[in-house]
Amino acid sequence: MKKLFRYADQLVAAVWERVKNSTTLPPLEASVFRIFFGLFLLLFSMPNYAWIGDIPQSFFDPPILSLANLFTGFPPKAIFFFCNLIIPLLVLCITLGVKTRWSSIALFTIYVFVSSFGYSLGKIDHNILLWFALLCFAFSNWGTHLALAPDKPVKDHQSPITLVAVGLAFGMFSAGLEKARYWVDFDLETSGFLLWFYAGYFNIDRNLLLSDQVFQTPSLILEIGEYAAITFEITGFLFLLSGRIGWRCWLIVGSCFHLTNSLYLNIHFTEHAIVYLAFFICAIGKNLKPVDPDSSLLKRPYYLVVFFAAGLTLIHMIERIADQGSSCLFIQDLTAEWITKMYLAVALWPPVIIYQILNLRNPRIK
Amino acid sequence: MFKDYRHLIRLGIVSTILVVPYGLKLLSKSLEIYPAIIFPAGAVTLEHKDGWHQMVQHGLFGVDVSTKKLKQLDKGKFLNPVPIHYLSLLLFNEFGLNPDIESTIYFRYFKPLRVKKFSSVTETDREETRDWLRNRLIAAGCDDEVLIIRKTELRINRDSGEIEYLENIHEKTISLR
Repeated sequence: MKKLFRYADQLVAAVWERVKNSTTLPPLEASVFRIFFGLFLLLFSMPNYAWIGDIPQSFFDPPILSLANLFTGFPPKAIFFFCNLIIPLLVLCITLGVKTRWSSIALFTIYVFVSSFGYSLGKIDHNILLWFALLCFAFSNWGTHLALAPDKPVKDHQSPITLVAVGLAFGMFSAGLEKARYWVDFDLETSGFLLWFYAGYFNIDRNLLLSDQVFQTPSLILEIGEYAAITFEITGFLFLLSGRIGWRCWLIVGSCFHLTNSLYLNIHFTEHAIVYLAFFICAIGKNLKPVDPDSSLLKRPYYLVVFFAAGLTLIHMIERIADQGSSCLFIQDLTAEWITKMYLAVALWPPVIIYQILNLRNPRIK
Repeated sequence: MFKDYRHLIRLGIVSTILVVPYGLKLLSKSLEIYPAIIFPAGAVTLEHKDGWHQMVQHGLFGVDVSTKKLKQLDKGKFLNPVPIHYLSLLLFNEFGLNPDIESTIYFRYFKPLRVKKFSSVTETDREETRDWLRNRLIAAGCDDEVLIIRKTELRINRDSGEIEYLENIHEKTISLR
């Protein structure tokens, strides 16, 4: 028995090593990624749940297994106002590398707390990947370089990053497996895609971009599209095991999948773009070579990042103190925010895909 | 001993964190945990009969203050700041104004479980909600006495994309006085 367990342990270790190789992101590049991650949040995806403070208590209907169920209603508005001010400051700390590990954990915790109440209107949104990535990266060395107050390096920097990839593959698998059970019926008279589409189009105003074209799309094309989506979703682990190029190819297909969903279903998932880039960003490592890895962000040319991030944070703070703003910079209400994110998705995914393709084979920096 | 099997233990922990929430969601959507690594599945299909798909469209209506006729409200504007994708759930709960609504937990492999919701919503909270809805009706140029939730059946021709509104209309009038 002992022998069997030892063998199983070795097997798991070998598989984990292989997955780690597919997802390698050295500390210097992880630190560069941290800056992009922070700027992405500051520009396009800064959680803003102040609106919960303005809605009636009778809307409170949390899922059974939610943190919010520990409460009897929405907390006072002041709590959300306070969280709304803390969040940009924590994002700034992450961007500039100020005690990144603790800032990341604090941001994740606050996000889960406030979003639990956001999802207490009866529906859980499934945009957890970005926040799961944040939590995982907190335990890596992404705060050890290009930082104003660097973290102490951890011994196993790579495993938390690999866990992001495992979480991504699993999340997609979880979606694909359920779809496969109902959508794969080889029957052109049924459609899973169209149920998504009509529900969004007719009930929640998802009628932008190419959505009108769906009415003219032949059933056969939709059926093929459904099977392609399921195949993509359930095969993440296989590509993760196949090696770095395979994993990157899967991510490129994933990016095309999100672009298509944005265009036709008006479901954007722009937040996934920054996470996918984590597995390509090592490709820019060679351009960073001349940079001293221990450079402080206060030295040229990085001090510009400090001013830019601080400026963005200041704008968020001013907007939030004035009880305005949304998750996107300069956007004031939720409808406009959603439309902005839709167009952002269309503007963002193509260059992301091109960047991914151009860097598919780029070697990582040792 | 634990050191010898550290990879297996790690695998067990990661699997538990990932698989248990997913298993619960598979059992019943009502048992979905947050936070958990679960992506949207939408694993249901729509059938078409004789080349037509049938759907239900939710609409919000008020009574126009000047013409006294029904006026369709812009759902996004009306709900603002609540994101519009919560609309169907708010409508199902009648904005929390109906204390008699029971929730049903649908299990995939067992009989559904009807549960009377524990609700801490008081009459004061309901009055606050009525005020909230009234203010929105006024802003939309409507009387602030009633809000009408209308579910209209419509069908879409699969080949031509033609949309046909059927006469089956289900209406629920929420009195705000």
